[in-house]
Amino acid sequence: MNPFCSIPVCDLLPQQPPFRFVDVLEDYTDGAARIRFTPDEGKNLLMEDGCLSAVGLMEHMAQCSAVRSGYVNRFVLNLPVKIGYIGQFRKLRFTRLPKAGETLETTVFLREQVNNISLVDAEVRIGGELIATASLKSALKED
Amino acid sequence: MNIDEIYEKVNEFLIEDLEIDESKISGDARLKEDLGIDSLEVVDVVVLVEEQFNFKMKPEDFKNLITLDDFCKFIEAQVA
Repeated sequence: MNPFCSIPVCDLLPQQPPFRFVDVLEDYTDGAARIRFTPDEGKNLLMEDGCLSAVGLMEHMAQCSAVRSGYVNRFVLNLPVKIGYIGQFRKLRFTRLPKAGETLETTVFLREQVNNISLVDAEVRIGGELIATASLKSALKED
Repeated sequence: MNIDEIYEKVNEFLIEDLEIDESKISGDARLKEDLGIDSLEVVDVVVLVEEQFNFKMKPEDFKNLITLDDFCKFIEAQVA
């Protein structure tokens, strides 16, 4: 069994259903985290016409970044999980929106961190098809 | 790399990546007040410098850099 799947994502970020847009942390290696999520019309907000909306897709990418930070703080640095805020999205591209029931596999790579600001690149795939990319910045709340 | 090449690369980054209005860019423009390079943008600048000039800036390096001239001269000193 993948050891990452046994880590509840609710322990890594504060958002809860129906506003949680991540299901499982699948892997974390060298600053990159891979997260799985299957949008569900009955369980998630930000669904439109049977698809995860563009705003929902952005929130998903931001929550993937939060899961990465939460994992690093808790399991690499042995620190408490910190509250984070979306700072900025840049270079957001998507070719289509995910349909309800499709499983997203999203990888977030840490490009740089300065103090409490992280810059990550996100890639969202469905069955290997790259459907969205973005660079985003998030800020962790200082102690 | 001479100072003109440094200015050219920095200006290109400011316009294309940070989406700063070209009319605001001048040597005496203040990084924070005039160009809006705040703590959120600093992380982009660190990435740019590493990619384009092959050295890594530290957060404390920014403390004495007030204007775009200061910034470009700092890079020139590092890559000399």
